[in-house]
Amino acid sequence: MTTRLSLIAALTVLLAPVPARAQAPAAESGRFEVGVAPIWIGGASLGDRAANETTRDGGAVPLFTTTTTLDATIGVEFRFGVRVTRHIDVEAAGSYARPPLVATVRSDFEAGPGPFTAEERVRQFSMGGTVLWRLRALRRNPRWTPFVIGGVRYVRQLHETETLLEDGEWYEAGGGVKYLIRSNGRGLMKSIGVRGDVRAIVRTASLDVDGRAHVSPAFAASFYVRF
Amino acid sequence: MKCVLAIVLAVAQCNVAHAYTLFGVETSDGRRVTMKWPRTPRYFVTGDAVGGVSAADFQAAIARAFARWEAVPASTVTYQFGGVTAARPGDDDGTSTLGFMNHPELDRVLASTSFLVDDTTGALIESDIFFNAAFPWSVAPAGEAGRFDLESIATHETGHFSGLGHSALGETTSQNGGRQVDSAEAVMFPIAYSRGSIAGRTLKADDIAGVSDLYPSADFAGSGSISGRVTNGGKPSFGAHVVAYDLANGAMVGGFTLTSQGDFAIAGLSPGPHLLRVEPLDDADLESFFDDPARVDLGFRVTFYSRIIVVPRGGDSGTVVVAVTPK
Repeated sequence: MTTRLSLIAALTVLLAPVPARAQAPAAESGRFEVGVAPIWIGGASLGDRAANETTRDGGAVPLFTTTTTLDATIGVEFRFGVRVTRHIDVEAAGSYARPPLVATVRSDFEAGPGPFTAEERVRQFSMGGTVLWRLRALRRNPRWTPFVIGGVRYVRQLHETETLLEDGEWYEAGGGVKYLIRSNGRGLMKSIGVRGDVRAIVRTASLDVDGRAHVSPAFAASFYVRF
Repeated sequence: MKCVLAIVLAVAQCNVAHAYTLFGVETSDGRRVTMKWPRTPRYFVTGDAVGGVSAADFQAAIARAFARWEAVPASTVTYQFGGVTAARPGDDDGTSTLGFMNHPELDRVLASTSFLVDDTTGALIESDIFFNAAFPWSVAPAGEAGRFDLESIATHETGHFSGLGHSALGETTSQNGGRQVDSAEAVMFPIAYSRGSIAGRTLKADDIAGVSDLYPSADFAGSGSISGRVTNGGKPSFGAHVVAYDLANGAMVGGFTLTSQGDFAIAGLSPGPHLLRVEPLDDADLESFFDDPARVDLGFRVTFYSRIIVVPRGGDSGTVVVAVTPK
């Protein structure tokens, strides 16, 4: 993660119209923050099932078994934050991704052990709010600010054929670091920086086959501007 | 113009498959219509008893079997008990009669349902069920060793009475020149569980979808369907057994490709993602399902469709084309 963040920071520095070194390494200025980021959302098992048939004594014997997963994907995330205190930002966030929904069939009574797979692409939208808490006490360098975040989102998943919606919630918690590239405290764009974070996403309801909550890791690296 | 169709069986044998089917009737002008009751059917029972089953026991078991079909929320089907009759099952008298008859020569037929149908509309006029008194029967709540459970067999036959054909959801093994059911997931599977079992009393997803499709209630509008076509080597496959498997609850509902183009349609499915499994009826009693078994395509392997099919609420998946793998 460190390497990737460094690369992103370096690239941003090269593209920035004013060299970062020329700016005062002051605290982030600007009350409002806008960010956009690629986000990697890890896969999650949605549960196992068996295609059971009933035996003469009322028991069950599987014709085959299935494991359903929502596989990892890369999407895009947008954020709009407002500084509430020196330590806390409140953010509205949304994302879009197209994770593959994959069903793996095993141990079919007639077709053999398998596996056989079937899949579709799901269009996944999320919208909600997060709270970002700067851990200023942990700063070792004024350009680097570690933080923790937590939030909740409404998630909507639209199946490939666009004929069925699944709704649910997505709870997230994690932490990361912001790197301040430039901060001048004047003009429209008061600060520019990059941010990376790692989160655990807990999805409830929405698309699942076992009625349980499902946890996925997620990683986002964004470029942000403060106004 | 009216015609009589004889259908049936709940034999001590079996096959493999999955699927509910509806009886179709070809009308005098060549149309194919679904056979069903146009209004609540009234049924009568004979006053006959057999060893272990009194006339009152018989009447009560039949009532419980009908009640199971009536309890399906997505179906409007209802039945009315008319009383005890002196008529016999099989008499074409406009009265639906259920009762025991002794047919020792039918050594694999536990029970049989026959129909009188208006062949201009498909409307059922009469449906009779005989239970073969040559077999030992039981109405014991937990079943009885060595005897067939009357309520289980009656549940199957009253499914026929309602207009349902056979389902192919089950597995069997050969035994003593016949077949024994190892497992099944439809009351309408053509072969009965062995003696002592009461597993056939409980309707399964396939049965529920079938009766709901035939007599839909308002609840049925919330379900969806999958339709499509099966091809084998680029040609339409007739008689392929297509099973929709609900990834969320494990329910299986089946259908067959029933046209020369290899078309199938499976209704009464819960909205959500499903798998499609297509199999040949290669060890089935084909006559239990098709009038013309020679047309049935058996030359392919069990195939899972490579896409997850999403069943929409109150709609159809759109045409799905499954290319099976030839043997």
